[in-house]
Amino acid sequence: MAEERWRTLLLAARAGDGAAYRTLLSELARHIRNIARRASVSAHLSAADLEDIVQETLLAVHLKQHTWNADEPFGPWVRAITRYKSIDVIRRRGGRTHLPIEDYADSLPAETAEAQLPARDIIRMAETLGEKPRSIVLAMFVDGLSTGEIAQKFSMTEGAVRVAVHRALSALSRRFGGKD
Amino acid sequence: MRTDDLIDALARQGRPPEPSVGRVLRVAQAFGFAASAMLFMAILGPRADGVDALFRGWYGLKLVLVGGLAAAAFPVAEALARPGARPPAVGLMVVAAALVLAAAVDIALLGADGAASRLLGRNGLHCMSLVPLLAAAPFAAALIALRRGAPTRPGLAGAAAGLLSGALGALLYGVFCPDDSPLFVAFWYTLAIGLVTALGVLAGRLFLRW
Repeated sequence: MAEERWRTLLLAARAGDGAAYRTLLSELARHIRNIARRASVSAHLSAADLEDIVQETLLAVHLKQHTWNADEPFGPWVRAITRYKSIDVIRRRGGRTHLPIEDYADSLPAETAEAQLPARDIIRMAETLGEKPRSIVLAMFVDGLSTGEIAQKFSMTEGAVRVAVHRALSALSRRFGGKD
Repeated sequence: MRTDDLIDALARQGRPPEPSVGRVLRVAQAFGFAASAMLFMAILGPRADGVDALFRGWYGLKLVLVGGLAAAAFPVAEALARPGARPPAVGLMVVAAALVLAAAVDIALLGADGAASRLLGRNGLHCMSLVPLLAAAPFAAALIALRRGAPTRPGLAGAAAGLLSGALGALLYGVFCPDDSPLFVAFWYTLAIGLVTALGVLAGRLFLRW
C-alpha cells in the first residue's frame, strides 16, 4: 500500500537517505495534486493555483515533517496538511476572479505538465529575505548546489546550512500565506 | 518555480533539523511554569497552613484535580499541533467527572444549606484575576511551542494552550487560596480557566496560522 511505502521512505529519509526523500516527495506531489484538484475545481481555481497548493503543501510537509510520529498513520497526516493548505490558498484567492474551471476541465493539462507550471515563485520571494539567507536559498534553488557545496562556499558547517535553509524556507512559507 | 525543481531542492536539503512538538511543548511549559512560580512566590506565596492542610479536607484534592487537568490538557495540546492526530479527550472527561463527583460529595456531607456561600467563597474575584495572571507565562510559552508544530485547527489548538496554561496558573493560585470547597473550585476555577481558554481561541486564530 502507498501509505506503508511512504512511511518506510520517510523513515529512510530521516536516517539520511536523500534518494528515498526525493522519491517520497515526488509521489506525495502526485497524491497531493489529486486531492487538491477536487477542492480547486469546486473553488474555480486555475491550474497554476492548483500547483501553488501542491508546492505550498510540499513545502509544509518538508518543514513540518517532525510533526509526524512514526507510530501514527501517515495518510491522515498528509491529507490534513493538504486540506489546511488548500483552504489557505483558496481563501487567499477569494478576491480574485477566475474562469470557471469546469468549462475546460476535460482539457486540463496532464499531471506531468502541471508539475512544469511556474507557480508562486520562491526565487522572487527570496528577494525579501536578508542578505545571507537569500544567497543561501539562491545557491540552493538557482545554482542547484548541495548542502555540502553551500557549506564550503559560505564556510559554514553543513548543519548550519541546513538550519539556515530551514529558517529561510519557514520565513518564505509564512510569507506565502501573508502571515509575516 | 516548477514543482519538480522544488522537490529537487528540498531533497537536496534533507531532513530539516527540528525537535518533536511534544519535547518543545514540555520544555516551554517547564520554563513558563517556573516563571509563574517565581511570580507566585514574589506576590502571593503558599498559604500559612499549607503543609498541614495537604491531607486534611479538600485542599490536597483541589490541587490534585487542577494538576490532573493540566496533565490531561497537555497531550490534547500536543496532538492539536500535529496534523491528523486525534486529541485524547478521555483525561479531560475524567477530571470533569471527578470535579462533579467531589461537588456532589460536598453537598451530601455539608448539606445544600450554605452551598451558595461555599460556592461564592471569599476569593472569587481574586481567583478570576490571579489565575490568568499566573497563567500568562505558560500561555505565551505554549503558543510559541505550538507555532513550531503545525496546528490545522488554530483556534482549537489555542484553546488547548489556554486550558493547559490556565490549569497551571490555577494550580499555583490553588496553593495560595484558602477556599477549598469543590463548589468554589467548580465555579470560580472553571470560570477563570475558561477565560484563559477563550483567550486561547483568539490567540490561536491570530498567532497559530502557518
